[in-house]
Amino acid sequence: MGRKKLLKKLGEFFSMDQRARERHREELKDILARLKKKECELRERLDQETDPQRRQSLESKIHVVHQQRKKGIGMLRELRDEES
Amino acid sequence: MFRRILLPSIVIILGWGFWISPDFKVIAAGVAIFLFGMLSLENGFKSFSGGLLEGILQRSTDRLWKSIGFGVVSTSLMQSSSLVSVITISFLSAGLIGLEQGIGIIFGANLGTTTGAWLIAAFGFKIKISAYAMPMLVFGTLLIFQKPKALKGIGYILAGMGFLLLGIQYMKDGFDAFKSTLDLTRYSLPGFGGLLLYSLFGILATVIMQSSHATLVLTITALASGQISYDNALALAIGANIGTTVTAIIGSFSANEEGKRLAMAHLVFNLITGAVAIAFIHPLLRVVDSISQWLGIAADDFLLKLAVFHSLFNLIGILLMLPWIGRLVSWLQKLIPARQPSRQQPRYLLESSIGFPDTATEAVRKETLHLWDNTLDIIAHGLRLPRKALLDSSLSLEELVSRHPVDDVFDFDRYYEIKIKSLYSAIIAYISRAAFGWEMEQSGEIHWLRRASQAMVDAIKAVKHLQKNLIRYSQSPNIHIRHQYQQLRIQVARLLRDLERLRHAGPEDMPGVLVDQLKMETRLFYTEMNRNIDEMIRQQQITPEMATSLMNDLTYVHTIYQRLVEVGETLFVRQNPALSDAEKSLQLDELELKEAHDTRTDTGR
Repeated sequence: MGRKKLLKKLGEFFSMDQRARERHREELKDILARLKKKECELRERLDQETDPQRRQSLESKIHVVHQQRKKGIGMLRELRDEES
Repeated sequence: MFRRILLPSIVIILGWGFWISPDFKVIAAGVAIFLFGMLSLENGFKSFSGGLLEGILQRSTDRLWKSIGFGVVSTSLMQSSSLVSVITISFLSAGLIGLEQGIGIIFGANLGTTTGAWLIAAFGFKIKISAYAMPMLVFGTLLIFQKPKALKGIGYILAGMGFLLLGIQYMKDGFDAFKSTLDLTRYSLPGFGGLLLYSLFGILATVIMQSSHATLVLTITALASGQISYDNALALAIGANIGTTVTAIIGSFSANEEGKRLAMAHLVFNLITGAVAIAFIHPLLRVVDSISQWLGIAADDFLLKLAVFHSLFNLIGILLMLPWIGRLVSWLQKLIPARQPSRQQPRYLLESSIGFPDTATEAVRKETLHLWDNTLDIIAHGLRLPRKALLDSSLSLEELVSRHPVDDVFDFDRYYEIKIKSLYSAIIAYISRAAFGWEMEQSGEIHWLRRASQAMVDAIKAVKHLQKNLIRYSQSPNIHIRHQYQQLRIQVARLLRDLERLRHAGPEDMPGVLVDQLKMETRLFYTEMNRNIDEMIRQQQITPEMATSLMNDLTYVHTIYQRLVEVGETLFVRQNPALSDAEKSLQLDELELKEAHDTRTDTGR
């Protein structure tokens, strides 16, 4: 395989990887936006809820969503760091 | 094809029979009521399995002589060998006794029934058991409506016996039309021909009148009035003995293989005894004469001599058959083999897809979902909750649980054998045969699907272990322990409901979040329940014994939770093609969950 051809192949490989990263980042952004919306909804429901048991359940849901968001934001930051 | 047309054909034939003969209608109704009685009786005995009745039966029938004695005494008291034999069939079907014990009781019942001949011959006395049917039905139904398990069980037994007797009465009434054709005097014959003919006549009369006692009364009346000879009367008694087995045969229709074997044993015993009595009638008569003389019975008192004969040939039958009981049992087991429960077959694991990794993975995924369906079914049964209601989220689980108490034993092993084991084994076998690469089996989808199947089996086993105390404490007078066990049931039921919600969740419902929430709830529930147990022990609301049971069972519930959430995660999140890789990558691991849990408990305080 000639040098030119090899460089061309490498370029394609990196761009595919780049595309995959880009897609993953977009998906992450999308899911993070949905998670944020979900957390807001849950917090609103918590404000209106008076039953202690249901409040407890809502609180745990909020913590899970929050933790997932935290994880997602970390992953997104890592992706940006890798690019820069 | 034959099976498909069998039921409609029976319905048409019965309908036609009802149309042309009112008597046939009564007889058929009698058989139906009788079989219903058998079912009720079996139901009643089942509720005592593992309890007092089983203990009594085991003790009174653990030796052959005891079984025979049990048969003699119970038949003498009830004055009906048919009733004793059908009750024995239901004991056997409920698994309370074994076949050998059942045969012993049947042998004894044959001897016990001869006390009827003595009573009839000596006093013209006949206990009319059908008179008990109505009160039995009334008291039985009254008890069925009671909550305690023992009372309910007694209710089913009483109602069952009432229905049996009522059924027999209906059959008798229906056959009354044919009774007038039984004119004994018309066929009076000397010699062996007469013996055989009258034996057949005795069989027919007993089948028609559904009572060997009724045939004996008829025989004794005919003998007393000189319409038939003494020899013919003996043959009738032999025939009555054979004819009486028909009731047990009808009873065995609704019984399992063991019940059918016992009915067959009854028929074989009575046929052999009858054949021996006919073959050796003359030596037997001489023995009857000697015994009668020894007992002080007058030479011309044929009625009492008939009773002596009846007892003698049944006793000889028992003595003849006793050494052969073991062989009889193995012959019956060969003749009527135990039916293997119809195991569920895999639906998607096709041979044609085995060579293509992608198609084969999809087949395994679908079959694992099939296994999940069956797992849901078996766990719902284990919790004694109807599946449909359990999954209906508009119904309150608290209400559902209090409406369906846990008061009987669910046969996990049988259901496991039929609905789970066959599928699970098929999945494992398919995976090992399919052309999956090493990586796919060790860490790919196949690895997770196999783990999910294993997790379902683990969860089912944990529900099985939970059953014992669930039954025990769900009826405890201690309200605290009762409440805790109710909570365990509700929690598992809620999990099943949530997992089904997860199964049908779309991407907008964020299944990944739902799974992590379930994991979080598992942690919270476990922590909360442990705190409750500590509190109850401190307050002395439950005994230490109750506390240890509850702690063990809480561990089982925890296992159920962990395993089933794992199944849900694999089947409905990891294997969900509608979810993006990014969403799947946000699933929280153990450490992150702990962090979320700790944050929650910190803010909760």
